[in-house]
Amino acid sequence: MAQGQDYAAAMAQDMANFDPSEYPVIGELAGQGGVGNTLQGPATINDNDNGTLTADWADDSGSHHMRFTGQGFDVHSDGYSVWTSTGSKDSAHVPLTSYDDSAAALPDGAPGAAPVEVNETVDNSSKFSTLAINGNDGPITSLASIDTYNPADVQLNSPVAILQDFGPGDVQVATSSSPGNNTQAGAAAGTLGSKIATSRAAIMGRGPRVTLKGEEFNFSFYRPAGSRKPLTVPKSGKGYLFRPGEPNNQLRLDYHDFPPERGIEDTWHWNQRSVARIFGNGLDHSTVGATLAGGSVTALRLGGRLFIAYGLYQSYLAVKNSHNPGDEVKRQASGWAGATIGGEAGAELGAGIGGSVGFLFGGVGAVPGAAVGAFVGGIVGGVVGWQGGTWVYNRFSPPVPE
Amino acid sequence: MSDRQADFVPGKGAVHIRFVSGNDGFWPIPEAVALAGLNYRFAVVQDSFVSDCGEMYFDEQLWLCLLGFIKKYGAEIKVIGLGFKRENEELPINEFIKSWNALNSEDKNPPWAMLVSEGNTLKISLVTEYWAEVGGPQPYSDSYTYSIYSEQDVAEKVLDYIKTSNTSERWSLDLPVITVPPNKVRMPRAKPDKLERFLSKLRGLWR
Repeated sequence: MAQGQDYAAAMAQDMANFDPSEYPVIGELAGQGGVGNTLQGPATINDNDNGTLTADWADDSGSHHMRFTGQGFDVHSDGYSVWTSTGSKDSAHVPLTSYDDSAAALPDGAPGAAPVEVNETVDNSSKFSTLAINGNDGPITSLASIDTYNPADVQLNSPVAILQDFGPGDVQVATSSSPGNNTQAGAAAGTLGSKIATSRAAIMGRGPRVTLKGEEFNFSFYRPAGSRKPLTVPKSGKGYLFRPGEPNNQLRLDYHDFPPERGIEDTWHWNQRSVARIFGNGLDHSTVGATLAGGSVTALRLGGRLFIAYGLYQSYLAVKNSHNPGDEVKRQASGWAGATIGGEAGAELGAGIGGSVGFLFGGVGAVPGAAVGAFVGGIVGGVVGWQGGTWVYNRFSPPVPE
Repeated sequence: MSDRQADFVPGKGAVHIRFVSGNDGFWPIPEAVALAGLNYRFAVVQDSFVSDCGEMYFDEQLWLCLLGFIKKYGAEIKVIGLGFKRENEELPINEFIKSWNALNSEDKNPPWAMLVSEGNTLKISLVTEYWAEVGGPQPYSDSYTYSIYSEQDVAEKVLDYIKTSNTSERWSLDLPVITVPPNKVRMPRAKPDKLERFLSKLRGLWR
C-alpha cells in the first residue's frame, strides 16, 4: 500500500514552483454539493500514484467543510490548503509547506471495502482547498458523493472537485466527465429559448400555439409579421394573440395615450378585431385587467433579459474558474445550445398550457397566461436542454491529452 | 374570404374622425407617389374605437367616401397592396370593387394605396396607414388613417366633401385640423427595404 510519504516526496520535488495546472485532470465532480454527485467515467489512479481532490468554493471567507466517500484511495490530509486566499486560482498560491499524516482518523478506502466517509474542515480564507489522496490498490472505483455541510458554500458553476494526478507512476488519464451541471445558466439559456419562441412571430409569422375554444391562436410579444407597420415610430403592442395567417385578427395588449375626450386615464388596454367570439364582446379599448397583464408581461420581458445576462455571467465564471478553460468554454456552449433549444420547446408547450389556464380566469387572461407559461416552460426546458447539451458534449468530446 | 360568422354587429356609437395636415413620414408610401412629387398630405384619422361596438371598427362608408373624393381627379384608378401576403399586388379599381363587394364585412380591410391618374400623370393618391394593427402614438393610435397625397393642398375640399357626405351624422368630426411638422430627416420609404424583402421570402419558405 502506498504511504502518505509518497505524496510528500512527490510534492517535495518542486515545492517552490508547484503549479497544479501542469498536472493532468483525471476527473471532475461538478455541480452543487449534495448526495449523488458522482465522479463519472474511468477516473483511475493506480497504486503509488498521487493526486489531490480540490474543492472550488463559492467564496473565500469563513470555514468550509467538505465531505465525501470513496473507495480505492488513502486520504492524507486533515485539511491544509495548497492554494490559499484571495478568491482567485490565479492568485499566488502557497506551496505545500506542511504535511500531516498523523490524522489517523482519516480512513482509507480499500477496494471492495465499504465506502468510507471523510469529513474535512478546511481552513479559513481558502477559495480552493485540496485534500491529498494516494492511490491504494487499484483504480478509484467510487469517488463519490461530494457533499458539504453547507451546500451554499460550493461554487455552483464550476466543478466542485478536481482530481489531478501528480505522479509518479502510471495514470490512466480520463476524460473529464463533468456533467456541467449548471442549473442557473441552463434556466437562463432556457429563457433565451423562450424569448426566441415568443419573438419569432415578428419574423416568421408564427409563435407558440394556444388553443382557445377549439380555435388556434399564436402568441407573440411582438407585432406579428404580416401586419402592416409604420416606419419610424415605436409600436405600442406588448402582447398578441392572433389567428395563424391572419395577423390583423388579433387580441392585443396595448400601451399608449388616449385622446383626451375618451376620459380614460389608464393607458394599458386591450384591442381586438375579429376575435370577439372567443374573448367576448365589448373588450376593445377596455382596461379590464390590462394594467395587471401589462405589468406581468413587462416584468417577464425585462426579467427575461436580466436573467439571460445573469446566466451569461455564470457561464463566464464557470470558464474563469475552470481548470481547463478551453474545455469549459465548449461545455458551456453546448449547454447553452441545448438549453436554448429546450427552452424554445418548453416555451411552446408552456404558452399553450398557460394560455389555456389563463383563459379560464377571464378571456384576456390568456395573454399573461401564455406569457407566464412560455417563461416557466422555457426555464424547465432550458434546464433539461442544458443536461442534454452537456451530455452530448461529454459523450463526443475527445479525451483530455496527458 | 372567411366562412366565420360575424363576431359583432356595429353599434350606433359615433365614429370619431380627426384630421391631420403635414407629411410626418411615419408610414411607407408607394414609389410612384414619391416620384410624382405629391408632397401635400392631408390625413383623415378614423378612430377604431366606437362605443357599443365590441371590436376595432373599420368604417367602410368613410373609406368609400374618400374613394369617391379621389375618383374625381382622374379616369384611371389603380389599387395596390390588397392585404396580408398580397402587398405588391395591383388591380384596376373595377376588379377590386367586384372582389371587395364579395367579402364579409369583417374580412374587409382597406387596401394600402389607390393611385388616380389622368393620362400618364399621377394626380392624387389615397394611402392607408394601419395604426389599428400596431397601436402607435397620438393622434394616430389604434386608427385607420387615410392619407391623401396631392400636388396641391386639398384639405378644405376633403373636409367639405366629408361634411356633405355625413348625412346620418354618425361621423363626429374633431376639428380643428392638427398640423404636424414635416419629417425632414427621412422621406417615406417607397418600397420595402432589402431586409423586409428578405424576411418576406423567409416567411414564404416557412409556410
